[in-house]
Amino acid sequence: MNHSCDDMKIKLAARDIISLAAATGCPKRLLAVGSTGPESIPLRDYAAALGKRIGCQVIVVMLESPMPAPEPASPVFSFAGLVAPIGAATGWQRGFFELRIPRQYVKEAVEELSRSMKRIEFILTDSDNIKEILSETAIQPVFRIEAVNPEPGGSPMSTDSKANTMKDIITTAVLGVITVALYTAVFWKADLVMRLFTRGGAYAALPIGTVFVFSFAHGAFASRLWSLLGIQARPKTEAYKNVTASPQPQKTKRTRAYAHVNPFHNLDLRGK
Amino acid sequence: MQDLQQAISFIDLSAGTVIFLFVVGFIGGLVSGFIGSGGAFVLTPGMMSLGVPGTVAVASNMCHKFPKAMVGAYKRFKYGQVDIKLGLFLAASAVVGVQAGIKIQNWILDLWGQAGSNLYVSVSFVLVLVVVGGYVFIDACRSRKACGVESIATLARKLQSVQLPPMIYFKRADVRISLWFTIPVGFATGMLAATIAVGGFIGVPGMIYVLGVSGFVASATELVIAFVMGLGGSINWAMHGMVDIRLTLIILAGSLLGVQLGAIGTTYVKEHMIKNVMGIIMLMVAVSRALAIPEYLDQLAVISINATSLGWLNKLSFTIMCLALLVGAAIILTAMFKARREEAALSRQPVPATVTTPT
Repeated sequence: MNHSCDDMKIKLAARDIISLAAATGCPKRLLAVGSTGPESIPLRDYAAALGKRIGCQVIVVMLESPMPAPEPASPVFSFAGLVAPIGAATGWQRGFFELRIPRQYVKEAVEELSRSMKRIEFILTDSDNIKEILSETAIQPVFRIEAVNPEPGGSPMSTDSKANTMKDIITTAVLGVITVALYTAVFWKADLVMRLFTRGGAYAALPIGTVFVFSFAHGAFASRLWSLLGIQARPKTEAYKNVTASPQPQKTKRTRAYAHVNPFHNLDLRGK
Repeated sequence: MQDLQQAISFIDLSAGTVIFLFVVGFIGGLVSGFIGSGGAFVLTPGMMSLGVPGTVAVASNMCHKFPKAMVGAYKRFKYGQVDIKLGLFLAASAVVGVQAGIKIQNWILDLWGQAGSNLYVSVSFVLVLVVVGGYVFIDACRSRKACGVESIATLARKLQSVQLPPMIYFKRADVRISLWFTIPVGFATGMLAATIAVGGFIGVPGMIYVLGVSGFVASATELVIAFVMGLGGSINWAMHGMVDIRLTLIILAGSLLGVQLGAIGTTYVKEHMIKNVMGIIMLMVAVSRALAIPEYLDQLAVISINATSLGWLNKLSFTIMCLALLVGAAIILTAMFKARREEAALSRQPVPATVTTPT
């Protein structure tokens, strides 16, 4: 997640939802709009984590690739029954639901969901284009999020990452050579080393200092070696970072006026 | 001690010895990185079976333990699992516990001789490991059945609610508890470390069930305690010239690779897996030590067993000890790679449609 103005707004919105849910005991909802491909997995993960964190039901609208132009005889996309399956789905009981719609109907679908589902507090998306489309019509705030770590294999390796890999290999090799040199130095003159290191007293500094030096060199080498072999710690999902960190339980319950419907949201005042 | 040092002979290294120490170091490091302790219980008898004098084996083992713990703690600190403040508080009382443990050992040694001391160590091993290991294992099974949902132990919850000054807040562990409840945990850790050389077998469960720390933070924080105690012990042994640096460095070569792999493994598994591995290893080691008891009883003339049977019991005891380490390592690696595979499969899998919208 890139730290942007949207991050702060999401935090504030999430905090509002927590206080509202606490005050009313009523679950809130958030809507995530992205594509069906793997590039939207971070968005879905983020929405799921955010929903879980703030006690909010999550509706994910996945936009399928543009359909071929409808033939004159083909039926027009209908929203009848769009909401009914959500209510009936077992997944919804756990507060998460995914929905697929053709990409060209995104505006209408979000409008319909907002009208029918109620209590949709804000919309998340991973696309500038969708944000632009929805900002024109949606009554809720729309936030664009951006994944920090692209999916492995999702995008071709960039020149930068190739350069970084080469740099990692060189660093690992250098640390490896240093480690081997240190081991060689000790075992080359093992007799002398043993004589000095087992004298006791102040000579105790020798074995203690040696293991420290070895642990720094060999430890750094081992760490980079595992990294190069692809064995790395599961990355902390950065997208979750600001969510888990931000909403603190509030000491006092704030009550405030809240409107779910903006009757003027469809009015286009720009031309007037 | 000067006489003892003169009497000590350091072994010649063969290829077999080097490979054995490296492999055991690696596996021990893997387990240590994952559960915060382990490896030492195999390394000391393992080195002794290679002909290394007991004191040199203990000293060299300890001298590899603290840098390993340092690297493991650093790695897990980066993953946000180490509570340094808690580690230092416990380590302070653990140092006192070590001194008390040594005093008790010496007292028993004077009273009943070497066989009595060995018997005391083995009985302590069996009692502590069966009781604590059994509880840890049962708790791990309970957590697994509850789909990995962890809850704070009842004892820990009650102790946390006791407002006995000075109350201390441990930020990373997210625990606020009286200092007076941390002292017994640290003391017992040190005492066990002085008795059976693996303080983590009481330190980690103590942190989980007495202080209410999560398994991840407890096992990571144990590495801080191991570092502090190991450094102190190593300086002491080195001042007496007992550290065989060659053995230490060979074990360290394997364990620094293992400890980092174990630390990485903790980021892929659920908390109950740490308890699971710890419980299984503790119970297996308890069986292994139980098999060593007849020998000491024979030496104390309590029972009589022929030499052949004792030889077999000794071999079986050592084999089970090695097996405990191997089983622990196998569980860790399996769990880790399974989680990695599942994650990779999930990222490749297209999200299935849940609703077909009417068109």
